[in-house]
Amino acid sequence: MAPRKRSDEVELYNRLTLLRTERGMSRQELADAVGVHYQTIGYLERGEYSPSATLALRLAAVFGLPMEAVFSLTPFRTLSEQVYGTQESS
Amino acid sequence: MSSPTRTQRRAARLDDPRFEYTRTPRVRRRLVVAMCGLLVAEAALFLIAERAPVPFAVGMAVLVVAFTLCLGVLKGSTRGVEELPAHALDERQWQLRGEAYARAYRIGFGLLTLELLAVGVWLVAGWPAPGTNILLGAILLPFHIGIVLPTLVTAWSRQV
Repeated sequence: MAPRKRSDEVELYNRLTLLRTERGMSRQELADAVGVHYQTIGYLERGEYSPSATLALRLAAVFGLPMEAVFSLTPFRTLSEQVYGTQESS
Repeated sequence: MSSPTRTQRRAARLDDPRFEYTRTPRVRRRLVVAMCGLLVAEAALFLIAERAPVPFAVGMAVLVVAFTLCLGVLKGSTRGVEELPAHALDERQWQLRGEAYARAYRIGFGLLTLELLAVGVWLVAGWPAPGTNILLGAILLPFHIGIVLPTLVTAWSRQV
C-alpha cells in the first residue's frame, strides 16, 4: 500500500514502465539513478504514489526527456494509437 | 571508496533482502499481534509481582528476550522507516513515516487519556492505594508502548 492519497488529489499519469523497459533498466537501476528505494519506483509505475517535482525532474533527466513526456495530468495515448492512429479495443 | 556510515549500515541491515518474508502484510500483522501479546503478558506479570516475585523475575527475563527479538523482526519488516534519520529515507518513505507517526500520536493520546481517566476514577472513588507492582507497571507499560507504537502502526498499516 502506498502513502494514502488525499481525496482531492489529482491523478498523475506516467510512462515510467514503458521508458524503463525500453531502455532495459531494472527498477533497482532506475532507483539508484534517482536516489530512491527500488520499491518507490514500483509505486510510481503503478500510479500509487505521486512524486515531488524534484523527483519527477530527476526521472525525466534519466530518460533524457522533458518532464511532460514522462508525466501527465491526462492519460497518455497508447502506443498503437500513436503509431497507427487506432483506438485499443477495451 | 569510503566506508559506510553507521546510519548506512543500520539502513542496509534493516533492508536486508533475507528478511523479505517478514514484509508481507500477513506476517507483519502477526508480528504486531505477537508484540501486543507480549505487552499484555508484561501487564499480567506486574499484577503477580508482589505475590510471586520469583515467577515474576523469570517471566520478565523471558519477556525481555522475546520483546527484543520481536521488536528486531518488526523493525526489519518495516525496513526501519520509523527510526532511520531523514537522509536515509526517500520522499515516499518519509511521507509514510509522517503518516505512521501522526496515527501513532492519535493512538498514544487516546491510551494516555484512558490511563489518566483510570487514575482519576481511582482517586475519586477513594479506592485503596495500589501496590508498588501496580505503580511500576503503570509507569513502565506506557513507556514500552511508547517505544513500540510507531513501529506497530507502521507494520500494521503500510507496505514499506
